[in-house]
Amino acid sequence: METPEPSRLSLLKEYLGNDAVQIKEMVQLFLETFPADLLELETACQNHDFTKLQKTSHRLKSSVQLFNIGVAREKIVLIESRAKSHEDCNGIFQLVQQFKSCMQDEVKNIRTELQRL
Amino acid sequence: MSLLKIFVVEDDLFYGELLKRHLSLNPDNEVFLFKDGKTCLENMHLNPDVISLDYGLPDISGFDVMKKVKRDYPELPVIIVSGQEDVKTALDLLKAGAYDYFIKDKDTKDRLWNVINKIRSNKKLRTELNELKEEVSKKYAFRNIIKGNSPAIKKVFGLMDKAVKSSITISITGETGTGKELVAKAIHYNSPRKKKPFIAINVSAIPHELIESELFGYEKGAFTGANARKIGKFEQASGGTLFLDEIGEMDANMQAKLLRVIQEKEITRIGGNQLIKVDTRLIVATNRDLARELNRGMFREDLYYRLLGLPIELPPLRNRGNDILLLAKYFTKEFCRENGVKTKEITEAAQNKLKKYTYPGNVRELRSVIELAVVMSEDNIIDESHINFSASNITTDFLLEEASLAEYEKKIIKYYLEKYDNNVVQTAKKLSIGKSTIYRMIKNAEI
Repeated sequence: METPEPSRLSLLKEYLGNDAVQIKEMVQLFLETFPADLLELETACQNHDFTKLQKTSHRLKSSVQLFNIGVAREKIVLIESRAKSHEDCNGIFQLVQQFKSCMQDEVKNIRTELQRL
Repeated sequence: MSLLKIFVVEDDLFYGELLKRHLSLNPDNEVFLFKDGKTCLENMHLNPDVISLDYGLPDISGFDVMKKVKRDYPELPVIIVSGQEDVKTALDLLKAGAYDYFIKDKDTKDRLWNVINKIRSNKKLRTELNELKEEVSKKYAFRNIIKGNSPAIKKVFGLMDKAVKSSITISITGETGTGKELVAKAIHYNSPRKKKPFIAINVSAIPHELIESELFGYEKGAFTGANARKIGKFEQASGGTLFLDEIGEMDANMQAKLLRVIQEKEITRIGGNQLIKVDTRLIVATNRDLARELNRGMFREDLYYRLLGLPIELPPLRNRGNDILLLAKYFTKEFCRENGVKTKEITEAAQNKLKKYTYPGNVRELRSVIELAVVMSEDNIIDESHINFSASNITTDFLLEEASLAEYEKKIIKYYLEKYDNNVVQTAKKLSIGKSTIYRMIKNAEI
């Protein structure tokens, strides 16, 4: 039997004592700040700015983890690790695109779950 | 209880805000969020109780922020919350004084919550401890522990005032019962060292062969029976004060070791080879005349001058004039209060009796005399009959008669004759006088 996908908001609920208002506010904050972080990731990649890449991916890692998005977390960990070892930017750029695509889907899931609160 | 002030330093706005809101679920927490190390350091004047610090900050590294915080606030707990999974980083941070180190994962929330609760309990205990220390300090305010207005005791207060303002070694001399340990405690609890331990040790009460291990401690296996490491009194009192009572009883071997510790400010535990720095203030006391012991070769000269420091001589009670009555009234009030009875008055006759006595046991003896008098008196008056000096003080009672030397001579000879069944030879030998002197006195019916 397949393990059901964990709720995207379960960890937030635990952190915020199931307070729906606070959960909505935190999701809103994530949705507001995430596009800028994503853009920063892409720009750093284009500029071959490994330091920036490493810092931004490191920062995003914990946020992504808080939404239980396993696949996206794997990608961002990989981006951080490759940026740390200054691996080829094209490979990293592809990973960033995969991460972006994954997150776009997940943002939809998050919004759906949020409406059910 | 006051709020626990928590700084959360996190560059990920989302994660930081989440931690802030999570910790704020406890109404006893007051949480502040800072996005970088600089802002955190600029706000240290808010006096946080704990800092949750991200390792990978954009401006200054978490390591450097922690080092700066620890330099100015060494006791402040700093918890590192990091995405770094590198063991070496964690170990380096813990070695540098981090309170704890968490990797950002699913358990971070519970770990942080628990460790913050632990810090809150510690803060409560620390607050209680500080309050108790303050109470002890008040208890040992000079005027609260040493009662008296006589010039002799005022001189002591003056010296104690000087003693608390420096770390100079203090040597207290005085007869038994004059309050040497109380003076030592009062100096400690009024000095800048008051928050560190005051350790008292009576040198004469510890067998010579054990004194070294008491003072310097020992390592496990140093000798048979040393099953675990023991920290000695010097180490225990580091930062505070070590009171060595009856220092004149210390043997020559130990005197040499003590001298070395005073000079080098470091000790070595028995069975160990590590030199341990100690910052221990010494207060020594004796009822012996150390200068005389020095002349007799019983006390090392170099140690004597090292220990002399600021000498404080406590006057015997008999030289403190009206302090006797002042203390008697104070003790009466105290014992009546303890026994839940109305304060008793001391009659004029009882006061005269108290004033005439010589108190070889000093304040300690007066205290016992008054305690007994309070118990013995049945109404609210303590009269002459309730004032009883102990049998061991028969000599002083005898001297209080203020007879002539010739009269005392007769009394002594008579006493020994009775003791030795009127054996003149034995009595004369005992008193180192001629037999003829005794026979003459008997013949003249003088005795």
